[in-house]
Amino acid sequence: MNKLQISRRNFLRVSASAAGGLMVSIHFPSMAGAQEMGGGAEINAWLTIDPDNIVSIVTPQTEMGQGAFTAVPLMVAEELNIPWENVRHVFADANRHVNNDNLYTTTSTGGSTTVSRRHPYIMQAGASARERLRVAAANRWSVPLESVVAEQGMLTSGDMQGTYGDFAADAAEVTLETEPAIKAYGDWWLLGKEDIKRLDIPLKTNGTATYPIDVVVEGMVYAACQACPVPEGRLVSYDFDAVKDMPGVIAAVELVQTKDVPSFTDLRSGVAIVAESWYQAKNALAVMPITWDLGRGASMSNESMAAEAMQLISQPGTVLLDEEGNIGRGLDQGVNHDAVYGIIEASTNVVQGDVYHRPFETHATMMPPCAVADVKEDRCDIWTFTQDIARSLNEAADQLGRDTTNVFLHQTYLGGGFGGGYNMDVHRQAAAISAEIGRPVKVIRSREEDIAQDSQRPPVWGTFTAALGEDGLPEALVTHFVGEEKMPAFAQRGVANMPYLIPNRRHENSSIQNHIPIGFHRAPGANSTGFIVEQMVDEMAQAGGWDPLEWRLKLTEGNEPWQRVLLAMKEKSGWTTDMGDGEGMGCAVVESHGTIAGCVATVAVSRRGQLFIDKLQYFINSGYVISPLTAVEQAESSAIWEMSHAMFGGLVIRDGRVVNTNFDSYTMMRMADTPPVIEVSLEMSEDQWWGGLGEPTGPPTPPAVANAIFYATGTRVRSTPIAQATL
Amino acid sequence: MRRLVRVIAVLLFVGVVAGGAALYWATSNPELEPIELASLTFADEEIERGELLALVGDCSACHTAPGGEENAGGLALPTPFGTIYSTNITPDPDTGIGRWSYEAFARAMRQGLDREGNHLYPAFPYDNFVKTREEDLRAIYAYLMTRPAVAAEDQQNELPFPFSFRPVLAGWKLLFLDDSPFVPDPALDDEQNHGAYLAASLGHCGACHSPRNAFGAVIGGRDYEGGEAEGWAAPPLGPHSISPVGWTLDDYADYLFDGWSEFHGIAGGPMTAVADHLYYADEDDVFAMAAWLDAITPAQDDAEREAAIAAAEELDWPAVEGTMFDEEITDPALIEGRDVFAARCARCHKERIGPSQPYSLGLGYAALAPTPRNLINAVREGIVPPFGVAERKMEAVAMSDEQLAALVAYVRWHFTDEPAWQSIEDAISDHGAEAGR
Amino acid sequence: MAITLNINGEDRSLDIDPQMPLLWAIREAAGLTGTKFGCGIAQCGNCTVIIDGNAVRSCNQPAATAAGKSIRTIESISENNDHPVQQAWQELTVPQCGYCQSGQIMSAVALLEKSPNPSDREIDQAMAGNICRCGTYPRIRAAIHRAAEISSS
Repeated sequence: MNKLQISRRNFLRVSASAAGGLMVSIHFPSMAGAQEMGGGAEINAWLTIDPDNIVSIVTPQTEMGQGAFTAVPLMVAEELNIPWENVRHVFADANRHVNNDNLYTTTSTGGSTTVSRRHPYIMQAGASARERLRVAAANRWSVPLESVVAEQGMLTSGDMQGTYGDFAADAAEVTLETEPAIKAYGDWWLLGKEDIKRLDIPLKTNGTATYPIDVVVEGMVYAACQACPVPEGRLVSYDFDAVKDMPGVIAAVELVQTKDVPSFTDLRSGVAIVAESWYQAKNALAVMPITWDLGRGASMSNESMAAEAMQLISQPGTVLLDEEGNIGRGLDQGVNHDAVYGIIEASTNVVQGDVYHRPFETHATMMPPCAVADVKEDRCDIWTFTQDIARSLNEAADQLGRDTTNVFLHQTYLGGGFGGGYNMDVHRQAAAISAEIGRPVKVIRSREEDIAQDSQRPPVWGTFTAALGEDGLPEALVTHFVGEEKMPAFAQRGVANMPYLIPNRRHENSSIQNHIPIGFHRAPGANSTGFIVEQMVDEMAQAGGWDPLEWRLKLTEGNEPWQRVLLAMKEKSGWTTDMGDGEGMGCAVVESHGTIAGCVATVAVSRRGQLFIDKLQYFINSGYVISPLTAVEQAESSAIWEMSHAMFGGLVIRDGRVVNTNFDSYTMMRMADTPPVIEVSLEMSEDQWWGGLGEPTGPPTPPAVANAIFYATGTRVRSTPIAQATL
Repeated sequence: MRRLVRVIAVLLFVGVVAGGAALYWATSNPELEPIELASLTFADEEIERGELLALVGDCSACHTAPGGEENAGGLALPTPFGTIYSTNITPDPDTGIGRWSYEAFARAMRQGLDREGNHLYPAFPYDNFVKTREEDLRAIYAYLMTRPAVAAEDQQNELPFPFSFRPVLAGWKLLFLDDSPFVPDPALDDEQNHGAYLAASLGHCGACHSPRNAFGAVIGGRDYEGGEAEGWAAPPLGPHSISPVGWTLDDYADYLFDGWSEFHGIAGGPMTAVADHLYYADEDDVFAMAAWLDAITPAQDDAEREAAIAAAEELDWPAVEGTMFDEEITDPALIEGRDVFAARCARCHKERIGPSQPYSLGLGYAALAPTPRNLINAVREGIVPPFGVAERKMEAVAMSDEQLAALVAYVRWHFTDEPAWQSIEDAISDHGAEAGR
Repeated sequence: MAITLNINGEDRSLDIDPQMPLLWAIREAAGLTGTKFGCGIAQCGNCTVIIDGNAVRSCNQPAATAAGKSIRTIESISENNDHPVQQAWQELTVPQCGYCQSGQIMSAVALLEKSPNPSDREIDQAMAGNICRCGTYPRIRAAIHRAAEISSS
């Protein structure tokens, strides 16, 4: 028997190049990067227009590779009707937002919502500016408003013509009686184009994009921080004298936790060393004697948590309802949950599932969390790792006990986010240290401290029992999912609201005790439950003699968005469950962020148990897509992200602490592990809606691969990392 | 030591020169007729099989210069007698083997003669290749003759007299070339025998893993007792292995494919290329070699295996950064070595939390070998990971000769029960001299 | 204590502890922030620079060991962001968050200088020391081939 391991010789089997079809050459603006607002006239808070007709568009969301800094300008430019090469992007001013009644509505950047949920008011900002330019022109030219056309940065009426820039100052003074409606799909001239490249690309090929770790403030010193290695534990004492003479060491600062049980974003109890250079601070911190009160988690481990989960899963849990109080969308309502056990007991064809499991995972953004704070008497400036600049500004003000008017949080690019930029206290650490020592300070988390203290993705366990009818389809299904107590919803999403038309269903839920901080982790919830639900479905299909794709089609009849994805999978993927010994295809579909994403995985498992993921094909129904290129990039990215955890990840908790805290022991996918072919097909329903695209291809990927492994080998992989499974 | 070997070798060689020369004149080898490349045709299956066998034969490892075109020759092979440069085996008619008939190719593989009839140095391991079966030789020929031709002149070898005088090789062959065919062992099954055949012939495992005599020939009867290659100590194999953890079929398969076995360590030096080729070779061929190795290796029971692993893991340094291994050391040299280890090695070489981390140092040949060469090489040059474990890279660690000597002594003392290495300094300066070559 | 490092063709006298990791000498002392910190143990490749032609992880190597050698960082590979590798990166829209890309690009540049037309296998091997959490690997692989094409045309 061999350990299943991912193959690195994929390309011998399939020689296609994944990104080859995307080579499109277009002109794009030469960007100096996001800049402070220029001297142009501000039409509204979202945009200014220079006299030379250059439009600077504000993005309140953060840019962490997902394309917000291009998507927001695109949506504004669509309505404003300005040539794309005239567009510049600028960071939003967090201070202005916070102190003006949330001027930009929200600066939160998560849940794949920048386009899907925010487009109405972002497009509105562009439309409103365009109309005010038209009014300004009509007024100056004394012509009827109807005669003024605003197109491609030009205003025209009869023989009269001017640029937007000519009328920007006037337009800023115009008040509209009624705000214009935003354009409908079909009227777009810019959105949906295949060849729009992200505006931040050039900055990211020559090292000039600025991340928090790159910010330099005059007189700045460096700090390394340590919170209790067992989360929820607290600092008792530390011996600064033992390290104060080490090279470069300036001071030790205690990080004071004010609440007994901190929220995810409160400052956690700990200590920092400040030094002339960061490595000196880190070296001194590593050897400084520190005593901790380890708290309730000190004896927790993966094993103890699994034992509790096994105990919970063996007894009834809490019955779960979906948001509408029903057990599932599209079902006959009013099904008696309590009848399910009776049906299963009476059945002669019961499928009893084993326990599935996904472990803790960590964000491990390539930039370790980092913040710079410069706290002075009259103002405070912060640069930090955050996915919500307003929230972090408010938290920094709270940390310092200051009014938000004099707290300035400056947006930078982020070296990854993936949800890690929410439950984070690095900006509080920087603010507290700078206030204490009276100098600007840069806090950098060592990778070890990052992984030890991150807001982790929680573990999930799940199992099921089903009774099959004469047609081999399930008559009754009971599931039991176990999550953890801090964010139990992550073990529930995608379970009760699975779309499959099973007449009698009951979904139970339990939570283990947990002291590890929990956070949002790209497609939170769905990333773990999808692995379980979509293998469970295959188990039921196989037991009932159904092709797993046909089973899904049958049990989503009448559900057009799902049917569209499933039919595309059937027709375009070369679907078969009979590829011959050692080879297999598997499928899985998961809905998250309003998008239905199907994955077909083609794998081979060799004699030595080596896994070849030859191909991953995605069929995505997200409704409208404003930037197909970014959509495809995000689909590839989410898929590799989640496959990385499924193949190699898994945090090890021992004595209450994360012990695999760097990349030697917490491993992730590298280039040679990446499947050689990743194809993305965007399937749009007739009846359109707006779904998110930054995350949905992650969840169906591991179950599709696991299902394919089953068809290749007959072995079902019920837990990850798959690389440690034995075939 | 090396110098002494060489003096003896020279004396012995002078002795055989006369006889060899006489023999040469007596058995002068004819030039074989050149052929036209265009006249050759091969079946696709034969070419494909040849490609897979060429991977087992590791041809391109020696016949490709660093950064050079595949199989165009030019790799410098240091031997105790001088430097030999590998030749161009692409089908270029003027500088490669483009004019070689199959008969010429087979004669080279079996008798160590080029097409013109010149003797070839046994750095080209025809003493192994001679055992290759006809159909396999034909497949490799088909493969080589259908590769792209690269024009690249062969380089002059750097050999002092008498080694530069090729006719002496006739004497060498008379003494050391065993051209008897491979005989299957009735005690082994078909797969194991297939592996034994590949190892003895194309795989030429013994070329590095067996000790050689002063004539540079593998010493009869001491197969696989451990040897030397390109400045690296090649470990003893099978029944001669000194690994605390016994090798199993899976261990061998992992190592041959990936150059890595969790409880034995990672390939270094010339073994990296071997593993890289086997990674792409026919899976059944590689499994066969693993099966043969497994068959000749004494079994170790699970309890012993677990105990050996546990014993080595007990010596791993603590995972928490900045924490020293709790041990009493009095020798100042070892204390210095311990401090170097703490500063430069312990961040990676520490308690294993996951399988992705380095193996416990006490399990591997670098620490256990009779010579510190492999350990010194790893520190000085780093480890270029074999393809199957591409992420297991070790960067070279810059340190002074004195620090390295202290470190090496400490690793030996801390991680093994073996006696201290003698003449560590010589090994370090040897390495330095070769690196500057 | 001052040591002299040749960075991007210029001798820089830096007042640092010789044991300071080269990465921090480059970032903090020389002020070149294109080279990034990721793990500190030479596992992620964010800190990759080219020393005497070889792609090297600068985060766990004392600065003193690079004295007398030629150190190249992302800032040096072109004046106008138009090195063939940069062109290919832009054409195939490789970067997402972008943080690892300085290291990826330096590994790719070192590879192409040694092997102007690398195979997929050579690419996978040369790039094994660089992690990208955004999963841009398929685009990096394609872009290295594209850069080879641009260089040879």
